[in-house]
Amino acid sequence: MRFSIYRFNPDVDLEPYMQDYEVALQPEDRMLLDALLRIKTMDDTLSMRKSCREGVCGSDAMNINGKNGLACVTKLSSLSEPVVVRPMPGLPVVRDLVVDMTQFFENYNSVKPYLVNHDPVPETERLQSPEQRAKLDGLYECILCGACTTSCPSFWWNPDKFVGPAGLLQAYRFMADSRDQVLEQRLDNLEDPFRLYKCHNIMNCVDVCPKGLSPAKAISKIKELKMKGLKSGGFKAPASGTALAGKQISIKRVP
Amino acid sequence: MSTGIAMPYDQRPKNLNLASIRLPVPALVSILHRASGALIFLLLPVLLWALQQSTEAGGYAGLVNMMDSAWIKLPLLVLIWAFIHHFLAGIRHLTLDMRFGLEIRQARRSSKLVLVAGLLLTLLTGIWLW
Amino acid sequence: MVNLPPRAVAGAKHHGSYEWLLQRFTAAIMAIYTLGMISLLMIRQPDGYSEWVAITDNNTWRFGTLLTLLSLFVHAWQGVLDILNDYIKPLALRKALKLATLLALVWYAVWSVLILWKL
Repeated sequence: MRFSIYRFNPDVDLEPYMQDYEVALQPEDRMLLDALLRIKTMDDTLSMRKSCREGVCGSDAMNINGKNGLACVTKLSSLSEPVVVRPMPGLPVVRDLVVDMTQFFENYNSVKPYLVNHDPVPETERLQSPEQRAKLDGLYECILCGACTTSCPSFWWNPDKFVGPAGLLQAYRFMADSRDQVLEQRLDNLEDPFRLYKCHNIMNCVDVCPKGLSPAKAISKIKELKMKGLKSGGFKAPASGTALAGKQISIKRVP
Repeated sequence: MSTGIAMPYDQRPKNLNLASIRLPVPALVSILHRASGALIFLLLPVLLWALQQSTEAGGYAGLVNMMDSAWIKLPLLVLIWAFIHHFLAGIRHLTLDMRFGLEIRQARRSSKLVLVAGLLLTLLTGIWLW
Repeated sequence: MVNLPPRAVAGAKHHGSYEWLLQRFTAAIMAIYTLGMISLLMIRQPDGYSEWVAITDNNTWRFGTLLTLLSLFVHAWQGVLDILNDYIKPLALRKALKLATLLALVWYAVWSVLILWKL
């Protein structure tokens, strides 16, 4: 099988270049990652990230025949030859298929991707009703591989200003959480013209997500919350139990 | 062969060779939305000039005469396409904002519809012009 | 309290939201005007200058057209700003182009009034 792979070694190369490989695949080589590891046995200078090799860890996202995806869950039989493999677009290349994810994780970090709850810590878990828990479906499954964010043109041109689909999906994941108490601050945090509003519904994010998630939907829900906030002239203080006003169900804590 | 000096972080290349990155139809409609908007913006003085001409008898006749020339009609048709595409893509954008058609399959279908309808309506306008 | 990053635009609590809404509001005005104007032209089918004047020589048309043109200029301002922010990275050039765009659009607005009222 023929491959054309993006190569760049900052110690040696001034410019990245494409290198062609012709590989005799073994019967057990089914996924693109298998083929890349096979190539690595021929040319051990080829660099890539990988870990779980089953689509859970999110390490081996790359641009495969022009589309971002995880090498470990991309079937070789689905790819046309030569298979063009390039690093994820828009992030600095460390070496070959390995990109520097710093900006990606900074953006993720900037939405405070964790629960904020000022109530005294209960003796047991903070419970949710099944309905409240269901609101997190399609949000919590993200593995932070970066495929969506690096397929987004709005991120390419403003990586330091636009949060990007992955970060915004996580922003909404905590807005939608009945246990979180800082909805207003979370919405304020996305108020400038770039962080949220650089999203122009291109929907490349949904097109590539290897987990089948929809950052576009999450983003549109954030915008809906923002418009509700505008209409009511601001948000109520977190103390009055607002996380998604009116939809919160109080649950008795089990003693 | 090693230069022995690792490249400084901010000088490292990014893979942004746009020709190598697949462009799904919704993304194509989106970039054409932007391009058509830019074209209309650049031609605003021409449009305002035409409006001004149309308010006087002599100018109106001049505009009508200009419409006889294919060299005017063809670029005009490009502008008409830009307008129709921007209009239709804008309507699609508004429906997405109202959270209709956000499923990826629906979004693909509506983007194809916008693209084809834009070209078709431009063609019809062209036939009418000639 | 949790420390969320400071807003990028101090004092402008709804900066992004209002811009986003304004872009859609102006779009709606233009869409309504366009559809109205196309229907009007299809019904009246003006042939010649005098019939064109019959449609346009009244204040309803003038104000409707002015409102639409002003919406167009506001809409274009946002759109061009978006494009410049994305593609023009040298700060001085970007600022210069923004200023030029703003001046052009303000001039178009004045020009529109001059055209519509034949001043």
